[in-house]
Amino acid sequence: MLSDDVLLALNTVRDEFLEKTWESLNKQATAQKTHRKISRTALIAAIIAALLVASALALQAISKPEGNSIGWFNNVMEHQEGAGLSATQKDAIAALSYSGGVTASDNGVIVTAESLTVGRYNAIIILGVTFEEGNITPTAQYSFEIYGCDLDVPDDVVIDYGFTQSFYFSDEETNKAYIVIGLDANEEIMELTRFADTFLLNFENLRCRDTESGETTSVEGHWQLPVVLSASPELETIELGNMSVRSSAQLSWPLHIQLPCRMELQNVSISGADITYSQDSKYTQAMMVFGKPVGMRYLEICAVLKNGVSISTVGGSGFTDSDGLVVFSYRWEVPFSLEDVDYIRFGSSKVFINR
Amino acid sequence: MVLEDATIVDLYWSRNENAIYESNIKYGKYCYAIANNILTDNEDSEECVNDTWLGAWNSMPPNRPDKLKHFFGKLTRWLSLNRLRDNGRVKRGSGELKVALEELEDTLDSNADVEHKIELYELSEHINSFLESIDEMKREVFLARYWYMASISEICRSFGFSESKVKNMLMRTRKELLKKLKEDGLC
Repeated sequence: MLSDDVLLALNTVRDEFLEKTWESLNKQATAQKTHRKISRTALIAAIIAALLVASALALQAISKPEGNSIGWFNNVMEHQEGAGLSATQKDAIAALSYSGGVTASDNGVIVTAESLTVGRYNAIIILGVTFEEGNITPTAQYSFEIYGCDLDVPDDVVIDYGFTQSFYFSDEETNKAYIVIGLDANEEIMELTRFADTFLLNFENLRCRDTESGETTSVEGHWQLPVVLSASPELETIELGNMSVRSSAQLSWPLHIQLPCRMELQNVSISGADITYSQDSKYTQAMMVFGKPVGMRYLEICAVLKNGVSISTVGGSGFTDSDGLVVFSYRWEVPFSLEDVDYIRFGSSKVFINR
Repeated sequence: MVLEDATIVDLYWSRNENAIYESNIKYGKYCYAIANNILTDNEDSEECVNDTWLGAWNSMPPNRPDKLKHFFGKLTRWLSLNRLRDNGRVKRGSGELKVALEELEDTLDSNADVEHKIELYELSEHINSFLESIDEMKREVFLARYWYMASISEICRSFGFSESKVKNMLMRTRKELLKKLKEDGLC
């Protein structure tokens, strides 16, 4: 046991002991000068008020989705913000998106890469699934039992990509079911196309789960789709450099409480599709106070557009570089034009863009 | 008009941002004194006090503390100790904190098994029990020094004791604490 332990353990001392000690300390002590800043306090209050307003956004009616990238992102916006994409957001997504143009067929099931949206570190791929014979089940959710991707790289290069799959919707009119694939550069890759730009997407066994009956059926098969990922040359970036931001920490001792804390971010860079930054590894590990784990820090990041819409980060990956810094990259849940950004919020810190 | 604690707590619970303003009016000075004794830096201390209000905002609800003064005080003290670590400014504190740590080390570490693992909450309980068992004056001087990080001269002025008396009282209390912790099998 060290003296530090005693100092920390004292934090839970009984209130009445503290009260009497404080009274004694101030019996003859001269009043201490304080430097209150009401304006700063008012600022904090204003920030909290703004957060309250932001959280009060109501969910509105959701329109029928479309089976392409703009349709997918519009659907995400409607679910989260109650309003679809703005015209400039649609333009920004259109600039990042293109048709996959590849199809694979097996056992009567045709899988098509309908639309791809590619950023620096990640991609969203909309797959369309149709049957050569018969119709899709409109009340069913479709997914693949096994999925992954291969790259044409030397055998000694081991590459790992984050790969997610989610059912999007079934369209009775086109007799097509849509599945969304998320691809994230993982571990020490960072740039999605660092090793190759042609990705061989592999899918096995199509599952169909009827949401009404609860029954699941499966169509065996293997579908390979060679898709070419290419970040748009129009993808602008803004280098924000290094910054100190106010984040949050969840303490487990001496109180279970969420507290503000600071984080130092380095080499922050944003595009309309993603964000990347580096930070000291101490921010990603358990918080240690005098050798004791007391909690974890976390940093929420979102982009707030000039129309007030807030866009969160999703996916993401991180690795430790040769300097010992942890490098993170995240995808914006919905792409946008950098010209539309008012500020990026890191925890409770705002970094204004375009001002 | 300074509001009652219960009214301020109600402001937090109703998510009224005046809670922060009223907290600062009533307890800003107290929290600043705690922070500044640890951090010895005006700007850092002010920021810790403001962090205290944000911490309080995040914790109420669900918490409903009876005495806001010490709820805020403990938060400020905790944030200030954390701030020192985050700043990496001085490895183990500065000003009165550094001296207080050295005093505790002189007593507690002399025969302590540094490999001995102990949960802080367990240690807290034993220290609280020790503080309850000792003379009130000793306890107040001990807490003035090691909780509020008051300087020896401040303690002398406030309690009307000579410097040697305060130092002796602190040394004896530290030794009693060590004895108690040894008896309890904590070191």
